Amino acid sequence: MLQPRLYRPAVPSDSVVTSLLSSLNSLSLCSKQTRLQPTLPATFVRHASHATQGRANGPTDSAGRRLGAKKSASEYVVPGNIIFKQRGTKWHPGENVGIGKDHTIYATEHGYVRYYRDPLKHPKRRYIGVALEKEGPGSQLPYPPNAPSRRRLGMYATTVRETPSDKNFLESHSSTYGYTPFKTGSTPTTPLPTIQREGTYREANVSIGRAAERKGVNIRPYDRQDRWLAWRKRSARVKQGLEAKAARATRKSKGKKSNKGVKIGGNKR
Amino acid sequence: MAPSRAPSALLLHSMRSLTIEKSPAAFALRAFTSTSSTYEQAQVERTSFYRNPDPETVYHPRLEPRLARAGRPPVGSRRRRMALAQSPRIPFEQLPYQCFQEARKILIEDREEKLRKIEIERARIARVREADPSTFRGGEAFKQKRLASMEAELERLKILADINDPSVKRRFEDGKGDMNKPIYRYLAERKWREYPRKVLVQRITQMKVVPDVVPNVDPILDVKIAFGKKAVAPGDFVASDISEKPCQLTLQAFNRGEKLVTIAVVDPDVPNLETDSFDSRCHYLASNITISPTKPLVDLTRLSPDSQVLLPWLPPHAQKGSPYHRLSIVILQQKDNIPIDVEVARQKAQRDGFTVRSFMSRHLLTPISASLFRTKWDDSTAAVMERAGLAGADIELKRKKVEPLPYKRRNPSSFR
Repeated sequence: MLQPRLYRPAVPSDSVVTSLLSSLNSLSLCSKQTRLQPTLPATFVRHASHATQGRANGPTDSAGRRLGAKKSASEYVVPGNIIFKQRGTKWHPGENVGIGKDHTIYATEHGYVRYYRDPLKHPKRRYIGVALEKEGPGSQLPYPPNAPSRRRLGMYATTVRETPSDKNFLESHSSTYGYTPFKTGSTPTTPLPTIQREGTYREANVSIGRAAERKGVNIRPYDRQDRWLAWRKRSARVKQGLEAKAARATRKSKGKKSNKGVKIGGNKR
Repeated sequence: MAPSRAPSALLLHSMRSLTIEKSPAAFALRAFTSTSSTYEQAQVERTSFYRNPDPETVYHPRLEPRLARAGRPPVGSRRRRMALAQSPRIPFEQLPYQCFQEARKILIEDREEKLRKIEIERARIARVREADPSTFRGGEAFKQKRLASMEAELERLKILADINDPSVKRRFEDGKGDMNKPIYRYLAERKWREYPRKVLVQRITQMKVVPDVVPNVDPILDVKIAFGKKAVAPGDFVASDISEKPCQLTLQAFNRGEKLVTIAVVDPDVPNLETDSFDSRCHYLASNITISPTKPLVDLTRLSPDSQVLLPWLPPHAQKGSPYHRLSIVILQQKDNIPIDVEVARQKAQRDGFTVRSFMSRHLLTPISASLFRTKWDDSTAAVMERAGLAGADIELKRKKVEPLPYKRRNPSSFR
């Protein structure tokens, strides 16, 4: 690749020119005055190597984002109205307004928009608020220091509707099923067959889970204090494992490398 | 290879002989073998330890509740108790660390110097107190100002005398500090200001107790709220059935002397449908309550109904659908500890429309602390309201729909 010439060469490369100039200098009458120097171009051209167009420079001419004030001061707004769109917090949320994740200021109460500063809250911030009244002392923002905040209830009264309690709901709905799932103390009935996608019948998972209960199998509840039982179980397991290991060793000695079908428990053989 | 840094056998021998030469002197001072002997003692004691555990050294989780039930709760952290149980427990004066003992000497000297200064300051105060106010250029006012600043200096010296004492620190951490002494009051206040006060100030400002109920407050009193055994952090939601009975307050003061205070529990969030705003209601009001650093407990149920309670406890309740109610507890100090005339105050005190501001100005009170808990409609509220004889449990509040703005087409010609 050709590199652009940025620096002036230290030694003039053209030897012919220099020799000619030196001879001219010696011949010249006005030798006291300035000697002739080899003339070289004063400016150097830097050729473009950076793409002016294309992906590298990014979109410099994207469409405007439609930022700015959507509601002016003392304009009437209702909850949810967008008052100001901005990048970052040029304006901070004041009374009765909220701020979105893109810092959009929106109204949370109906009222009149106010743009103001609150030096007691923050000396440099500008705020947007919604005053609840159009005129009068309550329409001024910020509120005077240490004064109670002005709030609006914005509600109406109705009588409480009687809702069916959860207990009634369970009772009314459980009667439609043939069996009561997960109800302790009840006698489990015969399971209902469930139809499957292929058109075959299968027992429902819920009833499979309660099969032991139907048969009357009693399982001793686990007691972590019962170390005697734990020890017996553990020793039985260790013994079983040792037996299986021994069986595998004998099999290996016979020269059969495949261990397909060998179970860890070793119950098969 | 680098030469080994281990000392030669010869050097070791010589050092050992040195220690052996020096040890008899130490023996004379204190038996060095006591370390092992105390350890043996501890071993011997351990046979009956499970029967009779020591609250200072118990560290087994199974033994701790037994002690607590017996009324002797374990002291300090389990980690420290474990370390204590396994250490020989030599007192500070006998610990065989030379640098430590030198440092202790410096601290003891410093304490003696502070005690000397305290004596001097006391003599100065007595002299100023004796002096005739006309001898000062500023007269009586100057004398009082001078005395106040000297008293403050004396308190500072008292704290400085004890602040470096490890046993004081330990007693404070074990909760055995005597709040009559300035050092323990100082330590307690420092601990409170480090975190709990910051939380309290944040809650009362963020939940707007400060401009809504009281105009301004700089808490100097630690307020703890408890309903029975259940402690409530400032700003917590409390179920209606729990707050049906009055709460117990711990008003821990950190300044010397008794204070006469008024306690007001105010709900500033009572919905008013007619004015479409909120009213305030007083749920409890009691005056002439004496608190001191050593007696911080105030049980609202046990205050005298004749001489203290102005308005008895009204169970906090919020109607269904209404925004949460802040039950703000305001502690007001009475001016110059002068008791309020209860009969006169009772005539003026109204539950509905009660404002702390007007009550403060009428009786010359200043807020010294505030706290709050919150309540909202829950399953037990209706029953609580019925028991208290309050109407309005069958009313549900719903949000009014605000009509949206009519669609306005702006400058239609430009859209074409």
